[in-house]
Amino acid sequence: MLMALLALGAIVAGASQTFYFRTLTIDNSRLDAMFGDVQFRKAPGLRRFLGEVRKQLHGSARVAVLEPSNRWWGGYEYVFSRSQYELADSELIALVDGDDSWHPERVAQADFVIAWHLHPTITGFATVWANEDGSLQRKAVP
Amino acid sequence: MLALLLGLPLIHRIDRERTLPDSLAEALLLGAFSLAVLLVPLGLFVPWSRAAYLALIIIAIGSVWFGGIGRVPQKRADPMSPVAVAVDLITAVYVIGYVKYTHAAAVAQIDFINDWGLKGRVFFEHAGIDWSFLRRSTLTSMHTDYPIAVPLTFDAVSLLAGRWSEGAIGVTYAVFGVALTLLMRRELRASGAAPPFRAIATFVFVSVTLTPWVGLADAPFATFLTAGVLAIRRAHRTPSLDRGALLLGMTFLGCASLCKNEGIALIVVVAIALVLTRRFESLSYMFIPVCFAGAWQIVRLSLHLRSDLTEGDVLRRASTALACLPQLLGELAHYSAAYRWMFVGVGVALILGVWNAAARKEGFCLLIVALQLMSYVAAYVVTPHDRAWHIKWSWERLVSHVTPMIVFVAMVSLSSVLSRVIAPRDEPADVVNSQPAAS
Repeated sequence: MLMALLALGAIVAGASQTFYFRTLTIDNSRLDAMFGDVQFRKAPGLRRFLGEVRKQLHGSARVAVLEPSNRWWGGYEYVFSRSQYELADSELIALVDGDDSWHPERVAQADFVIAWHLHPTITGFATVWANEDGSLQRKAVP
Repeated sequence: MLALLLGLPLIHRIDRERTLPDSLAEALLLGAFSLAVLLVPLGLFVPWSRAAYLALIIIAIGSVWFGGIGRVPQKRADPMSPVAVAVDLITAVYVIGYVKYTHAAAVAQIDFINDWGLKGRVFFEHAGIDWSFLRRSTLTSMHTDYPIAVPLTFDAVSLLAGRWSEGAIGVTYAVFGVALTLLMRRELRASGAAPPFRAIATFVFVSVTLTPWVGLADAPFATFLTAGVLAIRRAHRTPSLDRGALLLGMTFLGCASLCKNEGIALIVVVAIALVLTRRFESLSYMFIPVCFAGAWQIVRLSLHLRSDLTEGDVLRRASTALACLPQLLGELAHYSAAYRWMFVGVGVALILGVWNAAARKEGFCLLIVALQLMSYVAAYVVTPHDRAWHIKWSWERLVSHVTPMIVFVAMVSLSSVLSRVIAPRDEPADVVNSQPAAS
């Protein structure tokens, strides 16, 4: 009987997550700050930047992604995957592959190029919007 | 509410013996799953929109209620206990706190952004299932071969909300968790647990069913796994096989197989458990989950969506892993830190259950827990990824699939042992009017 009571105590104490009681004392904006940006913390401002880009795109498009590291696990995958989520209505084109090979020729398939932390000059493209976090380039109409 | 309206008549058509309060949890689960699946036929005819979706839902609800659902058996009200009410209030506060957490929790998960949420959001923006997106995706973390019932659930919620809503998606996890908790509580009551013990157990159940991994498929999978296995367990606890409960259980297993690929292993595991416990008559019902799982596998194969686990030289990877099995087991033990005290308690409860007649009947559930975990270890044996990395980022979540089940068995065991201390037990037969309902 004592063992059963101890087991019940261990189960109750071990299962409960006291954090969920504490959330009642935390206001929503703080909770949003705690969790909402967790997956964007390594690139501060990226979510805001992508939100601005989304407004500029006005719907679906083929979008190539530029990022300074040009290495898949060195930062490119991080920016590309988050861009894919935030710009889910567009078809994103990766310019770097998983083996770190660089494919600038794929830019030709894109209508737009988003450049995180870059303000490049790309032949055949013109900057349509930029801020301190990066720029958005659109394919120039011939 | 829409899920309940759709789910209630479905449950009563499958299982006519079920009383209304006993149906609510399962109706919610089956209704939510049906709402998500309705998006598939909708997308075949028109682009998804809120108006078209609502129209289809109304048609679906109208057709399942058409002709009525017959007489629903009545249930005797639960006796009230002040201790039980107090514990239930604490549980309710816990749930409210969880709902608050879920508001921003989905987007905090990398697998939501890279996989489940990404697919859901792409489909939502595309106003239909974007098969070409699944075919062309270069992100290996997206697992294009995974079934899409969970992303479709996100789409269903977002369509009804009128926009892609991570907050609304988060709340569905609370709904799944609470529905499973109510279902487990009901089954515990049927096992004869006293009201105060049931209230304490409910707090434990809610603690393991409200997942921290909001936005991933593990919680919906665990929900349907547990609901399915408990329904099959219930089917075999009557003198003659309860075919309604069995049908419902098999349907839930099918739902599980459309949430995660692990559902395929689950179907095999349940079949083995039925054979080992000599429940051969139930084996013929396995065609139901097989049909559910088969539907997605046909789609997957026709779209050439490959699984990373079966790529490359599987036999070579397996032989290498088996050669260092102790190391693999050590890694599994190392990453089993969550709920450590709870599992110590569960272990003690199961050992105590060996001397208890009621707990000894739970061999079927325990077999499923053991075999399902073994199937996960087998996946680690053939994984093409770095094994330690794979275990580190998935083992805890995989264990969570069977945690509600093993906790349930532990509580059944403890309720029998502690019945003399906590309170006299209820009569298990709680259905006053158990005549089959007229159609």
